[in-house]
Amino acid sequence: MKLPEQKILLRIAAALGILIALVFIINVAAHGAFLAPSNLVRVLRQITYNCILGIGQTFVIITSGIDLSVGSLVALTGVVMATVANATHLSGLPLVLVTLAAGIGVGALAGYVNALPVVRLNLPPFITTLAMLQVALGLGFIFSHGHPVALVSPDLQGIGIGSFMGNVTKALHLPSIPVPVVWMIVVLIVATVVLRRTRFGRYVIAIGGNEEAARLAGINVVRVKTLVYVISGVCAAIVGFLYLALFSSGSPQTGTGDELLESIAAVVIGGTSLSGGRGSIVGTFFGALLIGLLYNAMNLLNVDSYLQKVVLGAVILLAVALDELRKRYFTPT
Amino acid sequence: MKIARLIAFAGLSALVAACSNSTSSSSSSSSSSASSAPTTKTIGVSIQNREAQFYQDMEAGMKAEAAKYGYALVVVDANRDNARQQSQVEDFISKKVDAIVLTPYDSQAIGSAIVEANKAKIPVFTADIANTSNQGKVVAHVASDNIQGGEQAGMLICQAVGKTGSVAIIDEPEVTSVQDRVKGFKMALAAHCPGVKIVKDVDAGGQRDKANSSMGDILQANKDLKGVFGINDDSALGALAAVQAAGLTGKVAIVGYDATPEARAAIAKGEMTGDALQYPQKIGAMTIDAIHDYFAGKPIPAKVAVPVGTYTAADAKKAK
Repeated sequence: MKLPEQKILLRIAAALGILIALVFIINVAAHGAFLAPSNLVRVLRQITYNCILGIGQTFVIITSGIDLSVGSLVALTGVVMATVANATHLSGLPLVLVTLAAGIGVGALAGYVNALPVVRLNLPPFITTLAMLQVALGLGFIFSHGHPVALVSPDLQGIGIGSFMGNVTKALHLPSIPVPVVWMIVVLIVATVVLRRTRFGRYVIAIGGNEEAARLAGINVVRVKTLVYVISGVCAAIVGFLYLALFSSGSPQTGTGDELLESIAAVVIGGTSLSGGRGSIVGTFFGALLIGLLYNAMNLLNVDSYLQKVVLGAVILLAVALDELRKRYFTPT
Repeated sequence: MKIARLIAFAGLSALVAACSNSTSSSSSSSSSSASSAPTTKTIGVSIQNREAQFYQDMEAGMKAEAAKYGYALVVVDANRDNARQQSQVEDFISKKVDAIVLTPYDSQAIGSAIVEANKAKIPVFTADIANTSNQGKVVAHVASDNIQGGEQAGMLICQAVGKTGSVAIIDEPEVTSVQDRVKGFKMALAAHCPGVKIVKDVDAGGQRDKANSSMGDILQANKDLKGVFGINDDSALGALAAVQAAGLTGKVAIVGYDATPEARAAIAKGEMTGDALQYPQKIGAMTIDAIHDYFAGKPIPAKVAVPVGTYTAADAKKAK
């Protein structure tokens, strides 16, 4: 089921080659604005949210599930965290920790509830998470009375729009690194280690490959499958937190836009199979990066925003179609 | 297979690049030549919801006015998404536009995007919806005078209802612009027909279905209702449907806000009394004028109020 390393390296090299050629074409057309370091750093910041959502989603999709509730969970956790933060009268690091803990608690609980009917009643996750999408959306509106909850404390702004080691990057004349990007990198590393280096990660892949076989091999399928939805919920909470820090406002609608679609697209473009059993966290990062660069390039090249939607739709369709074709004609035996 | 995927993606991207060149040269020849000539100013516009007719009209007004001054205009759709709008502002900064116009999707969340533009020393203007966060500096905010617009709606109700009677408001009280509309509406009633009483003021979220059911309840409880003010046309049209269902068409004066095509049709048929009419094209044009003044170094007021008019059966006749 796993590819030989050489083949993987070859693919990465080919992918990079094509990307580099493309990048130079776009850069010339955009009068050099595309490759400006400040622009590239901005793109990294922009993809942070979809990438983290996509990382959680990757775990779910590898088990051949899907989590449609992530966008609403971003909104719900954002509203809850804004409310909690305003109620605590804390400041500085304690405020950050309490707020984040509240969000992660809600996200994990929602993930657990998502998983219950899937593992206990064998209901399709498409339906159960669709139900959660509605429930979380509704709860977000209820808790916030329908309008954004403005953060009273400015202490989260540093995480939302601040720079990481700003003095160092400034001294070295490097573009400043946005704090959310650092969060993304941490999540990326942790998730990669969990998926590739832990027993749990191997179980996730095994269940996606053949759930029955995994069960017979003695894997606690119920626990592993429950955990992947919890991970996805936690990732949504982290994104909710980063958005809250960025906007200083927890809106019941933040995250309910294109985040769901684009995070799933990032997973699929990144090479994770929608039918499960195969996937990569780094791939999801590159999928999110590709979408981010695509949007950025289109904006810099003044592509009409209506056309941008058509292009993104086409890219998603292409990625899913190629996944299907791969399955049909190149199924590894 | 990943290679095939990437090749297909590359092809698609090339197609987009090709498309972008053709669209920019066909839609506005001035803008494509603008990027090569550094003297022309470029204005980046991020609209919260470009699908809305209102914003399309505003965009048209901006385009016409920008063409007058020879400015290049780049318009993008935030698609009711805070994160997208933030990214668009950042892309404008990368592009080094000379000014940014925003119609924020979320007037609180827009602050951090404005901060970034401030850091890059690009002037920011807001149109229609203001920045209400405590972050970021906006040069000027250009919007309809909603109090005056509410007064216009109130005057229409007074004319239709007469000296006495009871009326209702289909409200959406969380929205600041709507608060102004209702304030103006009440002022007009107090000034022109103080005998007319507001018996109900309900929150229907500006949505047609909710307005419909709320209005149904109001009619049930107030059989003698003579008029209703819908704070937008969805509210007014929802109320109209309830009035029609109750068999009271023409007996209850209905005044809306915005004069959307549907509302205009209802006004032409005599089902609705009239509408307060915003001039989104004027908002767009006056935004560009403000930017023009800013470039010229002239002082600009922090708030530019665009007058609101009315649309009645007489206007509908003229249109035919």
